[in-house]
Amino acid sequence: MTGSNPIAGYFLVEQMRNRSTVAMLVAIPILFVVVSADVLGEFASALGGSVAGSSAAALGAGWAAAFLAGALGFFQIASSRDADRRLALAGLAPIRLAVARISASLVLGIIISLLAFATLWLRAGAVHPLHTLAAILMFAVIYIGIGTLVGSFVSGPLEGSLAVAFIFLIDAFSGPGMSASDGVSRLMPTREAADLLITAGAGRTSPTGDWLTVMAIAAVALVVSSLAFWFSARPRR
Amino acid sequence: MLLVTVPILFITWSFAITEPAPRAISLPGGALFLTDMRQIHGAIMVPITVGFLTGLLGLFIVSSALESDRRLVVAGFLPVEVVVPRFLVLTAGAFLISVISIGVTTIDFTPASWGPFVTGNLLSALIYGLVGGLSGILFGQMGAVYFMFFLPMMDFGVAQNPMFFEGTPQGWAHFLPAYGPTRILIDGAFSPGFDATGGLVLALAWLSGLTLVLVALLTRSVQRGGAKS
Repeated sequence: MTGSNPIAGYFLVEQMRNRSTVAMLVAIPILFVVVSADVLGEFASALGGSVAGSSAAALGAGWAAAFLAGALGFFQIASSRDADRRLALAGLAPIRLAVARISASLVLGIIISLLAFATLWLRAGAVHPLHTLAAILMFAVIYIGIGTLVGSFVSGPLEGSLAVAFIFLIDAFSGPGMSASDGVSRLMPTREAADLLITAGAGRTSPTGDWLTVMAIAAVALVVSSLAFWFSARPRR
Repeated sequence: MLLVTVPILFITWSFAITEPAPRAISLPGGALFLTDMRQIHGAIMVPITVGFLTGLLGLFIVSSALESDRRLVVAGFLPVEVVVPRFLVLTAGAFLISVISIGVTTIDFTPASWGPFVTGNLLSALIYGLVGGLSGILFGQMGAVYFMFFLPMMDFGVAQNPMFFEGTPQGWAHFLPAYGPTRILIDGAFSPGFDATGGLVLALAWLSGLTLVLVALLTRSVQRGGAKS
């Protein structure tokens, strides 16, 4: 990716330069999966949901990837807004800038997903490892899109962090397996990805159509967030 | 705006989605108390919300101080003149968030004893505001945001939460900052008396220790900025 888009490589290096950030990106998915594996089934039961055992542990790995990816996507955009506007004014096409920023986030999202998956595998096992990994990755991609979208329109770090966290918590707690409620919960962004993850965690396979649906949701998240970033970073007279 | 709307939505929604399944929890003092998951979730969502919000607030107040207060020291202000207002803003924010969160909770839940319930939540807010501020200095803004997304959720939401571990926090939970305040507010939520003296002492120790460390680090940071210039 860095060969075809060297700017994304620079953005990635910029993120990885801060050792504390790297340490958090490594430690948090591991800790989140380890701690949540024991309690998610019980929590789902309290909310009227049915997810339990290895499916609940798998869902925890998806959540770990999602909330870190959301924050990552938001700060990748919000913390560099001024610099990106100057780059755009200097002649770099805003859409190229958007692709570079989102590509850098995607690389980090893949790393987070791999860590969450590896922890899950060691902690609870995975009957369908590839399916599980792919579903966790979908959580990360969708939340990179959400974080980027929020970062394109909300400049304040406190407001943006709260907005991403708010979306994440509503999404996570009303997702499949966690709640008996329908209605608005059917509109949540990771609902379909959570279905895939729960199914893979239970040792079953999902139909191809379900995978295509989730991939379409992830693609829409990336396209919409790229357009939002382009809109916010474009030079204005 | 979000600091006001997030507690309202989170807490009201938590009551709405939780099933009233029976649950026995252990109260400070050792008594077992039979309640239900909806009541516990409603009570514990208050410190989860205030811990999460004040943690982020503390983090961004300190980040902002690190950026601008060094310049004020260079311009001739004493470090104490720039550090104290930051603490006042953090304290005011913690009170505001706590008042809103507790107020929203009372729509669906009435604690058995108001004093400990309010005290536990205020201590949760203040302690996590300081934890957020410290993490901003220690980890940088980005690393601290990841940390403060994670820690309140794990500390209040899992380690101290009587919905899990058969209603009693496990041994490792005693070493986390939320242990003391959560024992106080759980006592206030479900018991008319007060048996959480140990939790109160522990919470005050965390509050004092974190305040001293944050004052020292923040003062050193703004002075160092001044000395460099």
